[in-house]
Order: sequence, then structure tokens, then C-alpha cells
Amino acid sequence: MFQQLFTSLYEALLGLPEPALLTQAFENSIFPGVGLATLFGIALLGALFFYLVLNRVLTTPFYQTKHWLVMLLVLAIAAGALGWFQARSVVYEVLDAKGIVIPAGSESAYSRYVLGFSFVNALFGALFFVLWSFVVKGLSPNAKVTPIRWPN
Amino acid sequence: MPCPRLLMPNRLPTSGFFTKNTGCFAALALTLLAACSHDKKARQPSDTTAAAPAAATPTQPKLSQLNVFVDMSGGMQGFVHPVAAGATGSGFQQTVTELLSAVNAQKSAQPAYYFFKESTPADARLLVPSTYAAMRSTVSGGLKNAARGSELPQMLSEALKLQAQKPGTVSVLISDFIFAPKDKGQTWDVKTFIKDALNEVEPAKLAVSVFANTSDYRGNFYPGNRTGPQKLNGEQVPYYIWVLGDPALVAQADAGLLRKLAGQPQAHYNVDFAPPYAVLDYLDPTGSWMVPDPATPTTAPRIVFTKKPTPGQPAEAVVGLNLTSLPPSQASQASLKTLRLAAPDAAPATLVRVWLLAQEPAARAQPALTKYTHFARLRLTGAPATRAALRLEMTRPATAWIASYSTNSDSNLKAQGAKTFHLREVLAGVDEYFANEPSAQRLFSLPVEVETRR
Repeated sequence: MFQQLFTSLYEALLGLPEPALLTQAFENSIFPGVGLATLFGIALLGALFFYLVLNRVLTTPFYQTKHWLVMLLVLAIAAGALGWFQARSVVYEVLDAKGIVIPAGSESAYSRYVLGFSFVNALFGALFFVLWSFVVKGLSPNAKVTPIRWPN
Repeated sequence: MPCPRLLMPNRLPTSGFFTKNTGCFAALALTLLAACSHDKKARQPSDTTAAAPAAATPTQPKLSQLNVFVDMSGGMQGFVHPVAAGATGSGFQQTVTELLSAVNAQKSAQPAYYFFKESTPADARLLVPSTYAAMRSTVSGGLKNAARGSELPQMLSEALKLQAQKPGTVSVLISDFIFAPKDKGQTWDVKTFIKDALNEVEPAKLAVSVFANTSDYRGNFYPGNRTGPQKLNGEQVPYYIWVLGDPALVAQADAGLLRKLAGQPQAHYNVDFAPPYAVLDYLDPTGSWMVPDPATPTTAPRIVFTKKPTPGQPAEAVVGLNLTSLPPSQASQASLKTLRLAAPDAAPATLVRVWLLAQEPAARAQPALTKYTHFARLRLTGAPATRAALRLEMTRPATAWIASYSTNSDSNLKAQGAKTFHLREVLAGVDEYFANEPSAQRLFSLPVEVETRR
């Protein structure tokens, strides 16, 4: 289920993987793996960290919108890095298992696609963090109104 | 909570949008993330790197029984002349003892050894069971009490009757295959005798491999022409090894036991070679398609189109073939003329080019290509919505050596050279037996499935 969901999300922005021989690797492993890790690992944990750890369990001065924006930026970079490294490592694993290398003509298309994938994942990381923020911020006494008051 | 002294460098600004608190917070967040992401990477779902086998090969039935039959008749005596000390045996002796040794040594199938002889009132059997030791000593040392040999069609039907008793049996017949009908008036109709003998088994379930060889012959040669014997002293006389059995098992036997004979003139009828093959999505693909990993190693490779090709924008795919299991004389004939692509209307496709591994420039950069010997480029101008199968087939090439080994009169073999009486008609009988069997007209028929996604 997640496979189809994340595949649709990523391919809506990126198109089909290039070169075509990596389509299976992307759709079966990379999209769902990185998508789930970004959604729950990076975005959710980041939101919980900001709202609960920094502003509920501990009391820190980091409850303002500018802190939240820094968090957003850091998480976006992390999501981008995760996408980049994970995609490359899975692709090389799959190619090694099959014993083939990316043909010379397709190498630039492949690099472009992985770069695009890491940017898109950074975007999704930021987006998911924003979404989780709205879900989680009610639990934080100090940061309830960060970034905006609604819906609390 | 004041930012820990350690994390706070002195030079951060203390006012403005980004204060020292912000910077400190950012540092904390990054550290935490660094720690987290390390774990996250370890917790990634295990990637489905199914070590996909490179090629699809159909399941092979099990070879469980090997019956070896040697023709024991006066006419074979010259092949198995007793060998003087210090001399080497005849070609027949060397080849057949090697083959017997290989049969004896292999562990996967149960061997059984038989001599053929004529049915007499004293001993009505046509087959005389024997042992490895007895057969080996007969081949090395000569026939004692050589009986009259049984006729070729009887040999074939007896071997097939025995073969039918246990599934998974392959029969290996070694003889000079000189068929001289008792009634000389029937010589014109040799083919029908052979066809009738082979009819013990349905053509779909039988395959025949014929390996020709010649050996020096010392002794009396009895011509098929039924003229008087001719004394030969080392001249070459042909003998043949026939392999009969289930199509896939005969292919196994050819590649295994009989691989030493791979260079000999040979003919194969309905043998199921099943060469390994795959659709290569990493060799110059054109169009939008992908090859999903096969569910099992034996399923046919599938081309899944993400965008349908059209006659104006065709897609091209390369199929790699490994033809090493085919006899070299026939594998070398694989070309655009002998290969054909059977495409249904729903998935129109044509064969564009066939080339060898040696002619492929990408082979150096792409080591996976060395698994294949031939490549065939398909051009697809349409794709079906539901799965359809293309079939890549190779027609059976003609065998030129049969005519050169055949003669209508072998009365004077000394002058003629190595020839066999009516060999052409004997093998024409085999050919006709398989005439209505479409799989016998092809060396292989490899399916490639095509479908569209979304």
C-alpha cells in the first residue's frame, strides 16, 4: 500500500526512473523506503523533538517561529541527504546483484534523476514536517502557537 | 534552559533574527539528527534485491535411467579386433570405451547394458542384458561367438519398448546402422521400416540425436548390399551413436555424456535444447518499458510497457541468447535468416538484427553480456493490454553431411571410402516420422511475454 502511495507521489514530480532498468529498484525499494523514513523518521521525529522534547519535557527558549523554521530547514537538508545516499546505495546493490553496470549513455540521466529525487525528498521532508507540526503542536504548552495559532 | 557552554561559540550575534540561542538550537538539532539518521539507515526496510537469475530456463525432467545398447553381430567384429600389445585400439574401441566409462561413472542415472542380437529358435531374445565389465571387455577384446545381428528397425523398436517401461530413460544405441532388409526387394522402402519402428512412441515425446563417427576396421566387412564380404585392413568405416528419449533428457545427455562428440557430424530431431535467454534492458533500449524480476527462474521474461509503442515510434529490445548447449555446427547458423519471431496480432514485432557477442562493442564495459553468445534485436510497434507472448524460434538447419556419408551400394567400400548403406533413407525415415510435429522443425522456441502497465 505504501509502495503504491509513495511511488505515485514521487513519480508525479519526477516521472519514471531513468534509466528504465532501475524502475523496479526505485519502485520496490527506494520510493517506499525513503518515503516512509522521511514521513515517520525525519518529519515525525523532528516534530516530536521540537514540540515535545524541547518545549514540553524540557523548557527551552526554542519555541519561536524562527526556531521552527531552522528545524524545517535542517530536516529538509537531512531528507535530501537521505534520499541521495539511500537511492545510490540501493541502486548499486541491485546492479551488483545482477552483475550489470549502468550503460555509459545513461549515466547522466541517472545522475540527474537521483539529484532530482533528493531535491523532491527534501521538499517532501519539509512538507511532512509542516503537516506533523499541526498534528503535534497541541501537545506542547510552550510552542502551541508556533508557527501559527490555528487550530489551538 | 541556557545553551550549554560547550555548544556556544563566542562570536554568535546576540540580537537580530538569528541569536545565539537559534544557532545553539540548530547545532543541537543537527547533532540529534546525525545520531538519528545513522540508526534510520540501519533500520531501512531490507531491499528486495532478489538475486535475479540472468536467464529463464524451463524445468528439466529427471534423467533416471540410461540404457546402452551395442550391436553384437559379425559385421561389428572388425571394429573390435583384439588389440595387439603395444598397439592402440581402433577409433571405435577408444570412443566407445570412453563412453561406457562415462556412463558407468555418472551417479545421477541408473545404467543398464544390453547387446543386440538376432532372435533365434535357441534364444528368442533380441536383447541380451550385460554388465559394464562384460561390455567393456567385448569392446576391447572382440566378440566371441558373434551372432547374426538383429535388423535396425527391430533394434529401434526393442530399445523404445524397454524405454517405455521406465519414464526418465534415455537409450544410447551404438551400431554401424547398416540396414539391409532381408527381402532385397524392400530396399527401396527403408524409410517406412524406420518410421514404423519409431512409432512405438508418439513423436511429441521422442527425440533422436545421431552422432556420426568413423573408425578403422580390420576384418570382413559385410555390405548392406548383401554381396560377398570384403576384407578390410584398417580402412575407415562409419558407425553411429543414436540417443533416444524425452526431448529435454536427450538434450541433457548430449551436453553431458556425449559432449566429447560435439565436434562430430550430428543430426538432432526434436531435441529440446532450451538455451538460456533473457531480455536485456541494459543494452541500448528504445521506448518506455521495463523488465520486472521473474517470479521464478523458469518463468518467461516479460516486457512491461509503461507507454505503448506505435508504428511511428517503435520500441526496441534486445534478447540475449546463450547457444552453447546447441551443437556448434547448428549454433553457428543462427542469423537473421534462420531465426524468426512469431508475433501475435496484438503485439506486432519484427526481428531487426542478429549478432554475435564478438560483434557487440558494449561487451567490454558490460561484463554481464559475456553470459550470452548471440543477441537479437526486436522492434515492437504495438503492445497488448493483456499479456501476449512473442516466440523467438530457430528453424532446424539442413544437415549436409548425411548425403556425403550415404551410398546406395557399399559392395566396394575399400574404393568408396567411409559410407553407410542407404543412410540417407534411414534418416529420411526419422525425418518423416517427425514431419507432423511442429516442435521437431525448430531447434528452440523461446517465449517473451509483452504487456502494458496502467
